[in-house]
Amino acid sequence: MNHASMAVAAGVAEPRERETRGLYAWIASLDHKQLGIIYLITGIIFLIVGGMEALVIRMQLATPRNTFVSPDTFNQMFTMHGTTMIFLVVIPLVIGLGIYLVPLQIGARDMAYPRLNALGAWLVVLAGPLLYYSFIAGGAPNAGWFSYAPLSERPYSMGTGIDYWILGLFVLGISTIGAAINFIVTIIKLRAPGMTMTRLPLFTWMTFVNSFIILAALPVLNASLAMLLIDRQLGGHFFTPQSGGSAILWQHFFWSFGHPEVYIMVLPAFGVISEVIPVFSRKAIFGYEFIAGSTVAIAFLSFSVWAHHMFVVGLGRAADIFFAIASMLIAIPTGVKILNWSVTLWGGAIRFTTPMLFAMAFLVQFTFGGITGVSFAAIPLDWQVEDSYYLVAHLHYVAVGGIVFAVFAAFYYWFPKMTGRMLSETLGKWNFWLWFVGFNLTFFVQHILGLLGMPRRVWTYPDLPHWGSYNMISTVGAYLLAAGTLVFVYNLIVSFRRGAPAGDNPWHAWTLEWATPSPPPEENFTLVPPIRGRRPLWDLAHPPAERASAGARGQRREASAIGGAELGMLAFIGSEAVFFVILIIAYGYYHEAAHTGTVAARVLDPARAGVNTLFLLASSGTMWLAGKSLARGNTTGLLRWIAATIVLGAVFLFGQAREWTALIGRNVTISRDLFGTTFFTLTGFHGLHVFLGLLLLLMLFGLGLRGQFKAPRSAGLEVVGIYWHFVDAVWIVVYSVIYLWSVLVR
Amino acid sequence: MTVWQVIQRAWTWEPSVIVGCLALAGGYLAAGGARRTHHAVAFIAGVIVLFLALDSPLDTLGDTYLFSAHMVQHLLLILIVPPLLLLGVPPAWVERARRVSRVRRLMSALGAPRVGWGLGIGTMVLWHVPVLYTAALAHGSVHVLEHLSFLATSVLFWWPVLGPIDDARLAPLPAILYLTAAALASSILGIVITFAQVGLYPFYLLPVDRLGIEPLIRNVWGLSPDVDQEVGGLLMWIPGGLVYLCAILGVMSRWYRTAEHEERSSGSDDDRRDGDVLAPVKG
Amino acid sequence: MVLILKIGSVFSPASPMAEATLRLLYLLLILGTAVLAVIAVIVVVSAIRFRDRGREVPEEHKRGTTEVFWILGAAVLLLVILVPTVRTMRVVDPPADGRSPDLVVIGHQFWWEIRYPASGAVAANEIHIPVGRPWLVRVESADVIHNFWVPQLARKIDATPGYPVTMWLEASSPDVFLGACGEFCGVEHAWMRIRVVAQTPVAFQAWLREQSRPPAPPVTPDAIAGERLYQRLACVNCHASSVAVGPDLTHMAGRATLAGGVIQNTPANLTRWLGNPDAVKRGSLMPDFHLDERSLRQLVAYLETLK
Repeated sequence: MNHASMAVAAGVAEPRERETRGLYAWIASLDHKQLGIIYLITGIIFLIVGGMEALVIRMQLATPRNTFVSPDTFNQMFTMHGTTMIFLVVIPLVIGLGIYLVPLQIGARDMAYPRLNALGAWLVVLAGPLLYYSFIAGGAPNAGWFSYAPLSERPYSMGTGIDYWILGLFVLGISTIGAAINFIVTIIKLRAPGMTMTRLPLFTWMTFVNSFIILAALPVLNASLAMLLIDRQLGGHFFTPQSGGSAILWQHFFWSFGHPEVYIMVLPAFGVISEVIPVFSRKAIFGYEFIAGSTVAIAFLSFSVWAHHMFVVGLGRAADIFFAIASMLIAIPTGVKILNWSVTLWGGAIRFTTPMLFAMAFLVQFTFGGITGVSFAAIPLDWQVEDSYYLVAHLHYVAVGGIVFAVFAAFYYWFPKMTGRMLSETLGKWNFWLWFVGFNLTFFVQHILGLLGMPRRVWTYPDLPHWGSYNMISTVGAYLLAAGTLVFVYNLIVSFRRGAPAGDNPWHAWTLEWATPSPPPEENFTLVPPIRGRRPLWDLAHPPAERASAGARGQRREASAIGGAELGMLAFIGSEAVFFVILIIAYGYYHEAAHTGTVAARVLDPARAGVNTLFLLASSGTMWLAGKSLARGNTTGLLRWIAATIVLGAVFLFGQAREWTALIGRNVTISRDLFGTTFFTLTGFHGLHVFLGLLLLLMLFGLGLRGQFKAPRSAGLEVVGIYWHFVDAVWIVVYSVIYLWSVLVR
Repeated sequence: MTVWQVIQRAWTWEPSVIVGCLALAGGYLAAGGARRTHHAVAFIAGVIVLFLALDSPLDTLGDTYLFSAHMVQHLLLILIVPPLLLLGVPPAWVERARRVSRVRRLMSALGAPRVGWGLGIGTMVLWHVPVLYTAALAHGSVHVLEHLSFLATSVLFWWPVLGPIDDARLAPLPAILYLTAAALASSILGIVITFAQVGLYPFYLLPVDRLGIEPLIRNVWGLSPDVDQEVGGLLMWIPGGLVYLCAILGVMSRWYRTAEHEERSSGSDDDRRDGDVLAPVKG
Repeated sequence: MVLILKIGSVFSPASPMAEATLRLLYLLLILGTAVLAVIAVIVVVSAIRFRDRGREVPEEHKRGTTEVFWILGAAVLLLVILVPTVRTMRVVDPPADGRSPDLVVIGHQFWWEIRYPASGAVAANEIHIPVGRPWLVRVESADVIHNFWVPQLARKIDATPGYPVTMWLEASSPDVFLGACGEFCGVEHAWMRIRVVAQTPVAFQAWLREQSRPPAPPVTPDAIAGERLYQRLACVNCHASSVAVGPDLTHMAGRATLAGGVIQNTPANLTRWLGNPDAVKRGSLMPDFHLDERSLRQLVAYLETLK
């Protein structure tokens, strides 16, 4: 046999073997399962790194006036510990879980956008080293994980640490937004027949709702980071009080992201608990609808509570009370969940497997953390314990005692599915008890330390009564946590090699991911089982006595709604809209607070900008006409209209550039005053979006030249059209806010 | 001065409001017969709230003294009265009206979500522009126009969510986005008002104290002009937002109840395909 | 109980405001424990009673009554917290009513500038107040965000540059109360400690008089030489109250601690500090003048006369 026929004979097997094995296969993979595992491994690696940073912190704080590390090192340690744990551990872990599980749970073959998925995974892998490069580039960021201004500004932070922090978080933010878009489109469009939205496994439902929070919150972070970077590198004044900027505005912006962020972290954890507890109680979850509904309530309310991080700023009695009320309100839907999970246990048949142990510990610990959280809403208490170790204790009770415990439960629960092998139960129990004892030892005493007056982020402390002994207890606990983590990693490695074979459904669970081999084949399912309820496998095992004749129920297939590509683009422009809203708010705030309107009135030419606007609006018209041409099958018309759009867009950009040059010539620059800062930032980012739009249009034009468009519709054209119209709509708002407002001020 | 005395003094009996509310209630009862359905309860409740909003001391306080009181009035007109009125309309009436083709076309044009959202939110934002807001306070006719526009456009806003006709209603997910976007818009407006400099609405800085209650308001109740403006903005933001949240939870409750009902009555595969979640749902 | 301590803790309030806050804490402790107990009991009892004994649990259809009861109950509970919260806020933070401040506290990296507007006295890190009178304190910052926190006496409040705020400070009994900077402000955030010395009105007046008087001129030869050295080194370029880059030193010898509370104020410590500030408080902005032993002795002798 010659090579060719050998290849033909083995044709199907050989290329696939080459592709699916080895490191290259993983790097080039578009398979959501492999990408999910990449996320998870990244998260575990950084858990160890962040944990070591925590150990350094605890060793330094073990005794009063300790000199284990210098204050500067310590400040880098706690900044990187917080940043790492939130952005490089929890977020990758919960997103990674979602990326692995969501397609399986809904009976799909993969995510809606596999390439976007891969991009997101590798951006996370890149962002970590980018952030950590700061250690050898002059010092890691050292202003805390929320980088309050003006400490994070020049001249107070002259090194590049904060800049690496900004860039690392920026990359991570983009990755997370991409994942959110992917989740939304996947869950809406790729569910298997019978998997209605009201039957979704709660992990997938929570991931779905979570994705909307991400779309609305991450752009706020990105906008804030952009403004801070502009301050630091281009001489802007957004957050520098010495030049009219506002330190408080940074806090408002950051916490408008930061508070929803903690819900972004916790909602998938809630999803894990909602899966694990019923399975190991052998009982359907209590109150599925309330858990699903309360998730939406939490998502909604999470955006209205942010200033509870700012009660000590002195915002005013009325604002303080309203934020306190909103913060108390959000405890209600969270409490509903806790109640329902606990009641699920009641009357069940509980199996104390390792995932269940972690889940039950979650219930108590997260409730504890939630209660101390409510205590912060009692404002005078906040006025005592904010930014003390009581706060550190609270945040670790919800983030570690809650989220990380849930993540452990997830690992022990789904590792068999991912690898085909069971994790060792013995090692798992060691892992659990070391963590349970270690965690509570470390963090319970910190409540007391805070009430004794110990502030957070102090590299050392005076030898006041009991401060030393409680800190020592806390440090001992940290070592137990370290030991437990080592046991966990060892368990992962050893069980991967020699764990007991798992089979399809080792836990006798009920959701779709357990209806396929472990690990699942590349296409996930050879056959998706019929879905008639929220527990498909349970329904299969317990068929109802009577069944209405199949297909008798009328099919409610309506006219097909939005396509997958358009949905994704709409989600994207939703997030971009939030980005612009923040920049517009900054512009508007300084218009009033710093009277930038008077400068605007003096230096801007609204009429000329208005003419420029007309070009941009016309380009929207030509884009629409392009779509119409394609619908009629007129490909030359299509090309012509796309070209017209590009030309009009370029004319707009040219007009912008001319205006900018004129302004800079008159010494109106981004660094001169707040008008310059806010004006150039807002118009600059808009111009950037126009520029990107032109690149997309050029790509379309190129594709059109090669005859790639087939009448009557093209997803690519529609998607770019949506983006282009969005950019124009943003300009209308920007034009009104900047130019028309300046006319009113005149 | 006690609160009761304030109420007595400040309660104006506006003939136009009384006549209007009686006509509305009377017309409804006449059209449907005075039956005690939950529709009737909702509608009459809506009329009562409408009356209280437009005629009670709230109106007097809001027109002269307190921005926050005026805000409460507007919130009632936009967020409470229209939903109640809509919930009070029996589907049968609308079905009958829709048989007239012109009415049906008008309904589908005005009932489109884009129209409802745009008009509802747009009207709210527009009337808060200081120039227009002050004009409404200064001229009675403009004020009537303002209130009528609030009522009318808010009915259009709530129609795709709470309207009596299933087909005209948004599917659950789009409905949630619709309401969230509205909450966002009103929150931004509320935030701007809360944090803006005092004197955004200069009318309230020095009220004409015909009732002699200004000392009570400023000193006993502690509502200085800047606290008043702050509270007004906060009312729009948080309680306003809560109403939208309750509506969202209502949409979800209806969604899950319907799904469960279908699951119990069918037993076979549910042929939902992709994209259906965005299409209108029956029920 | 081991928790209740005398020094610097929320559990040993020494002012009406701190007492009101502690009562609120106890209320929350009780309510919180009750809620936690409910959940913990359900979890623990389930773990014991509902172990897996090999049976399959039938599927049930639930109505929403449990959740509705919980939601209403939670709302009531939150209301029960809200009302005392607002009341306590009125006690802790009553309106200032346009009163001018009795004390101005300005945060710097890494020390506190204290000014007494009425008398013009200026101090650093250590605050003296008379007992029994609520003082209005204006809190500002000269550089980054700091936070003023003395748990036994008052709420904490941010010192935000460009955004001065006011708070109330009162002590019910004469004592020394410790506090700290409560917002991370840079390298030596840990050593921006606060000392509030509450004195009887008589003692306070005496202290204030002393602060407003210039200190006695130096007498010993070392001290005289030290004064000349002080002038030659131009210490006032930073340490004058009008400049306020460093703490005002006019009465520094009377303070209990140095350098934001990192060391006690003794001649030996002062010598250590001046000899190598970075070794005592790493990252402090105080420069090292590389003084020899004799100069140090003289300078310290002079500074010790500044009572």
